[in-house]
Amino acid sequence: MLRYFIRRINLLVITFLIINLIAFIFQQNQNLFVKTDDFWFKQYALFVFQNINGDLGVSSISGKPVFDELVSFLPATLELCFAAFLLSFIIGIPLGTLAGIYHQHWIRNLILSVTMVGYSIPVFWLALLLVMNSSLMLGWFPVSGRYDLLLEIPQVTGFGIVDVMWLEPQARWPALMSILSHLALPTLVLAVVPTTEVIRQLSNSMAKVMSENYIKAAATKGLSKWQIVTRHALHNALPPILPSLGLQFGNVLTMAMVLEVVFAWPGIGRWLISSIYQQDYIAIQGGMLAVATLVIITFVLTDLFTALIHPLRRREVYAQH
Amino acid sequence: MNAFSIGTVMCLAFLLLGCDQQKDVKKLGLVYCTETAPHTFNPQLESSINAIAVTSRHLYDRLVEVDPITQQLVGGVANNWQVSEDGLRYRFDLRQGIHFHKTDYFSPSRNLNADDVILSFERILDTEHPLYILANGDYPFFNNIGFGSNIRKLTKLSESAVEFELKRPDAAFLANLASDYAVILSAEYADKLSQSNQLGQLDQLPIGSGPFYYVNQRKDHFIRYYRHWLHWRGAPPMQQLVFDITPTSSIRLAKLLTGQCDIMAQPAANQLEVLKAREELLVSVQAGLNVSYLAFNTQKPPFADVRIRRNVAGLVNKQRIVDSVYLSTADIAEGVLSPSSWAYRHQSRSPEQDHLVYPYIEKAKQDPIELWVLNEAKSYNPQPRKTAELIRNDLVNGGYQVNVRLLDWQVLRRYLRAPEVNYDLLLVGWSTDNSDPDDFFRQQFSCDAVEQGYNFSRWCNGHFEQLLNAATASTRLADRVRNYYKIQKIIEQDVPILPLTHALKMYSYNDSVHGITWNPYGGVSFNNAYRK
Repeated sequence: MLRYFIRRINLLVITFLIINLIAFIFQQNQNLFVKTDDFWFKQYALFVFQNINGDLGVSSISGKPVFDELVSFLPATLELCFAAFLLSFIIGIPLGTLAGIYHQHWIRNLILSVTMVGYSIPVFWLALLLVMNSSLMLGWFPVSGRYDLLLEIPQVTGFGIVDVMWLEPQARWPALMSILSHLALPTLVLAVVPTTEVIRQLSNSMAKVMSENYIKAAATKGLSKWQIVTRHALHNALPPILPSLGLQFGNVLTMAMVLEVVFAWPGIGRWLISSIYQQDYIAIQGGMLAVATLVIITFVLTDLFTALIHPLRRREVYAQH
Repeated sequence: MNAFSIGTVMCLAFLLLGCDQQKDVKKLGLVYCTETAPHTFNPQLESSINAIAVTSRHLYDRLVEVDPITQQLVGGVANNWQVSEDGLRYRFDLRQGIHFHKTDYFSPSRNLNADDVILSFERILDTEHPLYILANGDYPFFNNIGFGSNIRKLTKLSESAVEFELKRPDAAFLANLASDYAVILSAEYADKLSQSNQLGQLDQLPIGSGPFYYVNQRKDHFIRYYRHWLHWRGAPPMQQLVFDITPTSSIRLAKLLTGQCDIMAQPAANQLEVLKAREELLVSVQAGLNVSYLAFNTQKPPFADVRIRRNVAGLVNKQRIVDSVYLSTADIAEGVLSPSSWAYRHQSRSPEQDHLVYPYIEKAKQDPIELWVLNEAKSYNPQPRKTAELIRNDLVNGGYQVNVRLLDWQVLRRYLRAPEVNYDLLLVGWSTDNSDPDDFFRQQFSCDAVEQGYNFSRWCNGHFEQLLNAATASTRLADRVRNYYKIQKIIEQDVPILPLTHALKMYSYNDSVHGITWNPYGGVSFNNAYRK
């Protein structure tokens, strides 16, 4: 496991250095860096060292450190991504399991067809449709924003659901309700793609597990289908798909950034778009570096977590190298 | 009663409690959906009138104010003022008992006095002042009107009296002091920040004496104010005022329809039908003291040549812009001034067009023209991009090649301050800051404004400058009107800009909100707003 851990950390470090190198080259082209007579490698090393220390420069528009702005905007985006992933597991696991169990059955075809439709719909269009119908026509959900602005929710962790704990007890409930109602629509839209991914991968994985001999043995022992799935199949079918779901994080984060503009969600996507409009190159570079680093870290952490709970994964990786 | 029932009752009680709590908060607060966030909380440093509407009237007081109904000057921080016979000395007697804001970051130990007035203007006038240096001398409004160059001395006469001594008479002086930019800051707060070496905070964490005080903000998301209980005119009825920054007008409309906003700034003309269909929503419409125009870069060929400017001006179909962009919620502009201004001179015809094909026009058509346009709506133009496309179409039909480039306001400001600017045409406009015509002309056409980047045509004319100064040197209305007529004639002949429209100023709000004051020279005031 230690060897595996070191391999993954190596991957993390190398990818991080490559991303920094790309950012460094762009920075040289944009003349953002003070030109010195130092050898480029020394400048690059300094650049990486500054980034590791959270010194991403100062925004040319707001005059504030880019790192501070990232820290204040990133939690809102992460909250949205976590909620979307949670929803995708809640919907995707039962449907994926069902599609996996009923292999070569109309149920599987139906589920996978719906999944394909969901996967093909552009998120911003779906978002607009939902806003038009469920917000403007039916009035079920707020159109945009993160919570009712008249409710004063302190910014402690940046995660609204957590920050309501710092409110007075009688104010917590309305604040939480407000946050959840604002979270509903963007979460629903953002969850579409990871849900389809969970369903697709889990159904394949489940179908594979269901054809294994130990499942057949369990069936001959007289266990019901429900018992076989919950006791044996599911916790063997789930771990193999985790790394590819970890890779989905990058996708979800990108989509979240698009949706933030549609739902006026005060996260890093909206911040980046406004930085692009204002040609704030330092903020754009800092934001991109942070997002890229976050995606790699998530991927490596998911991989390590999978290896921890699913030893077979380690063997697969060794076999690849 | 079993555990499930108890749980259900508790949940329902919680829900009802939550609803009550939310209703209370709603009743005592207002949410105003606006389009622009200010980049500073000190209006002295701000250039966008939309952004100033968020800060100035709510956070600060001025020496004098303009009554929104009678348009007459009334007392603000100064309850009395005298002007010397030669029009060179203005003495202001200050009101007693004006309290500054008490916030988490500052507790005032004294009331507003002459020191505060001195600091507020000295930072603009004294180039050695630490605050002048801090702001890099960038006071858009004051620099454009040449405020500093006309003040000989600013004197503290007593704790409650100050005197401005001018170099030459200025009929627009009081109107300028009543503008949204001429706010009174706290000298005590500045001292405290200076001692702790945090002077930069003065313009970002504001302390004023206005009806609301700053609580917190999230960049490009919202700004929160609380009522100032000790305001000298009495505390505002609303406990909380929130500015929801929503640049897209369709989202602002959606928020108004779903009750997330109580008031919406600048609905687009094509949204009026939707607003009229909802009984609970009202629309306030005012004649706009604004103008949208196409500025020619007169310092750069081909538009350095007045004949090319006339040719292009004659090609633009203004009526089509009014019909397509404003849906008839604007008037065609014949000149710079709005027809409601007392100095307005009726102009019977559009700039003369050269119909003949001259070699210089043919030459101008060979190279593509750069048309720059803002990517955000302004009070004078709700859809700049669409307007630019219509203009482009007209010019292309006239044989020109046009490239349209969209720019953010902050980015455009950066470019405009550069010594050389690459645009040929710039689609912009102006909303007046006060009732005096000097505000329109000096800020957009004076030679000082070229350097400041607000003279968008970069046109500097010596005769025009003389007339501009002559117009403010006299307090006789007839003299002033005569000079402004001449000024308008020069602009008409030299065509540094092509005036396009005077837009109506519109707001929409929920009928449960009362007491909003729409200021014709700036934004909106919620000082007396309440909810029924």
